[in-house]
Amino acid sequence: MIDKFRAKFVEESTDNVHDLEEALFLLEKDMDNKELIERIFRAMHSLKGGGAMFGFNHLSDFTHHLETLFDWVRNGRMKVSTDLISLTFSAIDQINFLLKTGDLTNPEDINNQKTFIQRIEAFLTDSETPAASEMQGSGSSASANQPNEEKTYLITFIPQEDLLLNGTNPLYLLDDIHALGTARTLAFTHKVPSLDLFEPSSNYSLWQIIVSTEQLVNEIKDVFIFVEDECELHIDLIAASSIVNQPEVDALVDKALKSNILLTLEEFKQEQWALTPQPLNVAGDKKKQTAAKEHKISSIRVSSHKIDELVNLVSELVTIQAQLGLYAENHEDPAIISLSENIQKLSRQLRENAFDISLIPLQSELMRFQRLVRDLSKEQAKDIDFIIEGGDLELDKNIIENLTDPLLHILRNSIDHGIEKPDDRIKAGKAPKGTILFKAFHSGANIIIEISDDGTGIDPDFIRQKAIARGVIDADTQIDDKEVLDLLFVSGFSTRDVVSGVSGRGVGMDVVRRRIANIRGEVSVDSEKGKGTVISIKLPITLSIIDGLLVAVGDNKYVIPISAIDKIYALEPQEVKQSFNNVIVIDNQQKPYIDLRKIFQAPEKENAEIVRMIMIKAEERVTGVIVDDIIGEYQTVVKPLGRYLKKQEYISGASILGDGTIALVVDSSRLIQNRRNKKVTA
Amino acid sequence: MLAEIRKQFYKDTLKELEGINGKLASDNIPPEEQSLIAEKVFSVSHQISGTGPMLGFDSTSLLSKKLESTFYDIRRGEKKITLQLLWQTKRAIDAMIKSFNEENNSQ
Amino acid sequence: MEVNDITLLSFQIQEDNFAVDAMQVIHILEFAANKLTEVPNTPEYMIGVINLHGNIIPVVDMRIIMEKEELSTGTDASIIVLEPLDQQDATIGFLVDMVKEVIQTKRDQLSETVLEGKKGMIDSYEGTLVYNKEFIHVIDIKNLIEVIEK
Repeated sequence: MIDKFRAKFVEESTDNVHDLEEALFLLEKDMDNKELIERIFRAMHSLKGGGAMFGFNHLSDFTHHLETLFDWVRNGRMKVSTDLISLTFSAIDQINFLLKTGDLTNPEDINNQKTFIQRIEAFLTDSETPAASEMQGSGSSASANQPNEEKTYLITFIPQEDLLLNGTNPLYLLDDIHALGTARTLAFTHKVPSLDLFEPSSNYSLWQIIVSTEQLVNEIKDVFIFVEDECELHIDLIAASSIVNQPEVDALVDKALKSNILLTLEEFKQEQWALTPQPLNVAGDKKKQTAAKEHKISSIRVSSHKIDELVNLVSELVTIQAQLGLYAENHEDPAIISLSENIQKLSRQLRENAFDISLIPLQSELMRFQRLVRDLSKEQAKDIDFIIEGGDLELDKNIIENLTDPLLHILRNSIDHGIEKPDDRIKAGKAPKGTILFKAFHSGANIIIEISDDGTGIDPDFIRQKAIARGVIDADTQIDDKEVLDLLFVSGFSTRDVVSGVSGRGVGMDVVRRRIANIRGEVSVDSEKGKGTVISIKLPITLSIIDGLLVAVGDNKYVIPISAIDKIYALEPQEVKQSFNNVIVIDNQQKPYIDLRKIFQAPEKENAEIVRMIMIKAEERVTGVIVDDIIGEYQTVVKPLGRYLKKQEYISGASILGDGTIALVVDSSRLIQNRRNKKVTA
Repeated sequence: MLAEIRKQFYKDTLKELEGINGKLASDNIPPEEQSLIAEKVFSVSHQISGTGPMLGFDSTSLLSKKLESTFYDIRRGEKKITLQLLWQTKRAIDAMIKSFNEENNSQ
Repeated sequence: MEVNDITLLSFQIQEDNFAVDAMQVIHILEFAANKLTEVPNTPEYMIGVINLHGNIIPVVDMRIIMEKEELSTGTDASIIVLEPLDQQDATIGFLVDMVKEVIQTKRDQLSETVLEGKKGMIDSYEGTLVYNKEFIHVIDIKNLIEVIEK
C-alpha cells in the first residue's frame, strides 16, 4: 500500500524536478524574474514536504537546504548568479538520484550528500549571515475553522449516467444537503431520453440546490466525497447571508424550472447580494482558487498503463468488428449490414483517437538534451546555441523511450567533435558561437528528426583511409562520398577515433543505427568538410499497427511485416533439404536463406508438398526465410512481449488474432543481421 | 477451490462491513471512537480493494477504493473526520454491502 | 500500520504448499493448454504466453522452478497472474498444480523457511506459515522475478 503512494510521489516529483529544471534554464537567461524564482522555491518546497511524508528523509533534508537558498533569493537577500544556477543544476542531479534510490545507505553516498550540503551552506554564509529564524508561510489563522454566519451556496450536481450502478442513491445526498440548513432543490430532467432508449439502471437527472447554511464549504464537499469521481460538482458562494426564501430567488427558480435551463452565477450576481463583506471570508477565497485551478487543467495525467489498456480494448473491438462485418455480409441482412458499417466507422475513429492519446510530445525528453549541451559545452569551453524546432511533435511513447539514447549520443558527437572552440572557429572564418539545430517534422506517415551542426564536418578521405586500413573496404573500391559516410554505421568499423571518440562512452554509430532500426527507423548522415554535419532519422509515428503476413511454422503462427517482404517463392521441401550452406539457387541466382523451422525448433512436417520462401529485406540486404505455409495478410496490432522475453532474439512482439490466439511477430531485421554475423547457422 | 475461497472472503468481509455500519449508525460518536472506526474502515476497504477484484467483486472494489483513499488521507492527518463524512461513509458502506450481496449472488 | 497484516494466496505444487502475497495477484485462471502459445528459444520454465484481456502475459511453470521432475498437468492446474507492486510492466503468470485458499494472517506469524534441498531455483522466502498443521512457504515475489529475469 504505502509503496504505491511512494511510487506516486516519485512520479509526481519527477514532474516537479522537470519543472524545476525548466525554470532554471529560463532563470539563467532572465536572472531577475521573480515568477521563476517563486516557481523554483515552490518545487523545492513540495519536494521537501512530500519527501518527509513518504519516507524520503534524505531527500527532504537535502531540499530543505536548497529551499532556504531560494527563500533568500526570493526575499532579496541573495542575488541569482551563474554559480547559484550551476549549483542548483547539480543539486537536481542529486535530487534525481535520491528519488531513484530512496534513503541512502552506502557510506560513500552519504558522505557525498554531506559535502554537497556543506557547499550549499557555504553559499549561504558567503552571502550573509542568516536571520535568527526561518520564514515559513504558515500564517493561517484559527478564525477559518470557526462556524461562520449563514451564507448561501449554489450547488450544481451533475451525476454521470452510471452513478446508480455504484449503488449510490443521489436522493440521499440531497437529503443530507437539506439537513445542513435551509435548502431548495431544483431537479432537471431534460436529459432523460425517450422511452426506447431509457435504461432503468442509469441516472439521467441532474440537480441544483440553493442552500443557506452556517457550515463551511468543506462540510458540503464532504457530502459528495464518495461520488466526486462520478459527477460534475460545483459549489459556489452566491451570497453572504441567507437568501433562500427571498422573492428574487423564487423568480429565478421558477424561470429555471420552466425553461429547463440551469441557474448561472451571473444571474445571482446581478441581484446584488453582498457576496463577501471583507477578505475575512474564507469560502470566497477558496472558491476563487478552485476556479483558477479548474481553468488551468487543460490536460490530465493518466498512467501509461491505463492508456495501454485502452489501446488494447480498442484493438480487440476492431478485431471483433471485423468478424461482425463478415457475418453481416454473409447474411445479407440490410439492417445488420448498415449497423455493422456504422460500428466500423465508429471503431475506426475510436482507434485513431486512442492511438492519438498514446502519443506523447517529444518535448518531454528535450530537457535532457538541453542539459547535455549546456553541461558539455561548459566543460569543453565551447559556446553553443542549441535551437529546437518542432519539439511539440508527438510520437509513440515506446519510440521516444528508445530514441533518447541514440539522440544523446548524436548530440554528444556534435559537441565533442563537431563544434570547434571559439578561437578555432574565428580562424576558420566562422562566428565564435556554434549552432546545433534540432529539428523535428512530419513527412508523410513518418517523422523526421534532423540534428545539424555548423562544426568541422567529416572528412570523407579520412574515413576512406581508415576503412581501407581496417579492411572494411579494399583500396581500389570505387565508392562516392555519400557511401563513404555510410561506412560510419557499419558494425565493426570502430568509429571511436573517427567521429565519436567520446571518452568513456563506447557506443558507436553502428549501435545508433541498430537502436533506431529496433523502432523501425532509419538513420543517415550527410556532411561537408569544414561546414558541418547533418544526421537525419526517419521514424514511423506508431509502432503498434503493422501490415503483416501471417505464416505457419510448426504448430505456431508468426507474423512477418509486409514492409520487409520483397518476394515469395514456393519450393519443394526436397530443394531445401538438398541445398548446401543455406543457399538455394533460383533462376540461376544464389539466394541465402534462414530456415525458421530450424531456428524456432518446430517439428518437421511430413509429406508437405511445398514450403514457402519469403524474401525479406533489411538494410539493403535480401535473405530468404523458409516457413511451412502462408495463411494470409492481416493488419495487426503489435503488442510488446514484455520485459521477461526481452532477450528473445528473433521475435519483436506478439499480435492477437481474431479468435483470441496469439501470433508472434518476426523481427526481420534482427534475423538478417544475425545471419550476416553468422550467428544464425540453421 | 476458488469458489470456497470466494465464499469465505464474502462471509468474513460482510461481517466486518456490518460491524462497522452498526457502529456508524449511532448518532453521537465520541472522537476517540471516531479514529478507531476510521482505522477499521481503512483496513477493511484496503482488504476488499486488494482481494475483491481477484475474486470477481468488481463493483464492490470500486467503492472500497474510494473509501480506502479517503481514509488513507485521514490516517495521515491530511483530512479531518467530520460527522458528515462518517455519515457518508455509512451510506457508502450500505451501498457496498448491497453490491457485495448482488455480486455474490450472481456468481 | 498495515505492515503486519498480510493476506496470502496459497497453492500447491505436488506435495508442497506455497503462498504469495494476495495483494499482488490480479487474476486466477484455469489452465488450458490450447490457450498457451509457445515462444521459441526461451528457458525451459518459460512455457509460453497467454492473451489476458488483450495483454500478452508470459507464463512460467512453477514446477520447473521448484525443480520437480514429474510435469503432468492435472485438472486443478491454474495460472496465478501476478502484478508485482509498482511494476506494471512485470505482469506474469505462474502455472501451479492447484490454488488453495486466501489466508489472512500477521507477518510475525511467519517463521524462518527451512526447505532442505527443496528450494528449487528460488533463493529466498519471506518465511513459512504453519496453517492447519501444514507448512506453507511464502515466496518472495521480488526474488522469484529476479530468478526468472536472469
